[in-house]
Amino acid sequence: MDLAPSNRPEERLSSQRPEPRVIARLDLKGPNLIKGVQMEGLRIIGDPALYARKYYSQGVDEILFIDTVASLYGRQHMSEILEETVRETYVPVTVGGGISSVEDVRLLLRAGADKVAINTAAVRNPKLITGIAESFGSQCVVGSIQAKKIGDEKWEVLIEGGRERTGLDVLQWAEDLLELGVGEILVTSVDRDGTGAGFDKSLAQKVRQIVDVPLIVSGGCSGPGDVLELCLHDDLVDGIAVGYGLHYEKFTVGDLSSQIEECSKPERVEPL
Amino acid sequence: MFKAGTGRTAVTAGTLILDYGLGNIKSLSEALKFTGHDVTVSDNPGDIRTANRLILPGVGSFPSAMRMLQDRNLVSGIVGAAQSGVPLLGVCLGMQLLFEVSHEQGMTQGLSLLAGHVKPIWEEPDPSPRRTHIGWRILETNPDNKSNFLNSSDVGPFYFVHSFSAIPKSHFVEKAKVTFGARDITSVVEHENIIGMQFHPEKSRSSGLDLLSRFRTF
Repeated sequence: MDLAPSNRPEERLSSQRPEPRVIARLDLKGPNLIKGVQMEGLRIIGDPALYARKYYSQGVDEILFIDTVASLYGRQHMSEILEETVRETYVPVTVGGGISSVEDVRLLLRAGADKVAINTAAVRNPKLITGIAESFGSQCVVGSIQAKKIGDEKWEVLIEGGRERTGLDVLQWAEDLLELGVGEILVTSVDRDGTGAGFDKSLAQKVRQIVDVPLIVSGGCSGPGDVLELCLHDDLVDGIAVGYGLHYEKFTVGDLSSQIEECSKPERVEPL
Repeated sequence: MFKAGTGRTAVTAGTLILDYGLGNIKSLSEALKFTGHDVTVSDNPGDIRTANRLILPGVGSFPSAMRMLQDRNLVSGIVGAAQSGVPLLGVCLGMQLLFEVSHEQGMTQGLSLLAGHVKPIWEEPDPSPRRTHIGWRILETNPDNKSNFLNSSDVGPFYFVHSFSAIPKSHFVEKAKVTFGARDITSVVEHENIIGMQFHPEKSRSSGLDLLSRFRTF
């Protein structure tokens, strides 16, 4: 697949497919929106539903809630936050964090979720993905991968909120998730997450080469410049999930979506 | 339901969401309430008889959905109501269920209210660039095939999330489409009192809410 920057108008297919989406990523701990840096040092930011509404009013394409506690207790908070969010926002909501059964998914969908992101449970019990896809459809299942760089163009899959190593290769695991029936892949760079150091572009490129489902990248966005970096490559990502920069108001949703819109315009051809 | 202060008497708008156990009913219910519908959510066939309009939602697999509709004895009620002119809106999988057959997980018969079939978007001929079609799209309409429901300003964008799509036998039934790579994706179908939307109007911000609101008076 040719991933070189495309600057010929006829190669820009943006009118023939969706533009990359801006997804607000909200990590939750109990009733709170939190954010950490490189999976350590969590800080409470505020009321999740309030922030979801804020990003909705800024034009966000989707909302992603990740439950970082992932216990039965945490599940109750998630349901409440979900219900409040869908009362006031009319964009898709994805929920992740500790989902480990088809019944979990059914309850979350009934509470207002449109998609579920599965990470640890997929590694422990790959058949779960297939089970969810069969009951609710592939488009409902996001395979969520936390990727830690362990070498040149080599990343390892982490689970349990980034606390546990698996020895699995990210690229192989992405391929496996595809076979199992995910409808979308979300890859988070553990190294970049919460740092504002930019997306891990080579990670995106390597994963893109092997998956034919929409690819969302997360971790490290410091602003429109990083978005430009990614969308210089035609058809590289289908969406970006952003947390840190939005919550700490380094930039707005609008800043990012304006950049995406700019990228999607065909190049103006200079008159002869 | 009389709305004080508007100077108008609203006709009781009994909108029944058929909850056959699959997917996110909550968002649809909230969006319909927000746009003024008097909403009932039920899987009781008896409730179909008293509804002013029906919504068939759906997230999931076609075979599971048909099985669940059959288990709850809802099929004849839905078909009967649609054939007697009750407005029926199928959303996402709900739109696909309106058709005759789907090729998802084998071959499954649908409600057969509209002629046509459902197949995966990634299959030849004309495969889509991704296995799932996810994101915001602007609708394309044909001025020679005007819809009674859609206005020319209803272009969206609307939010799509699906891997199968319906292919109507009659092209008059298709009132709007989008293209995904080489693949045309039927986005809005309409035949008399029956409307189908492949996208999620309850997830498409104000563009979608406008359509849901309009369904109240369709």
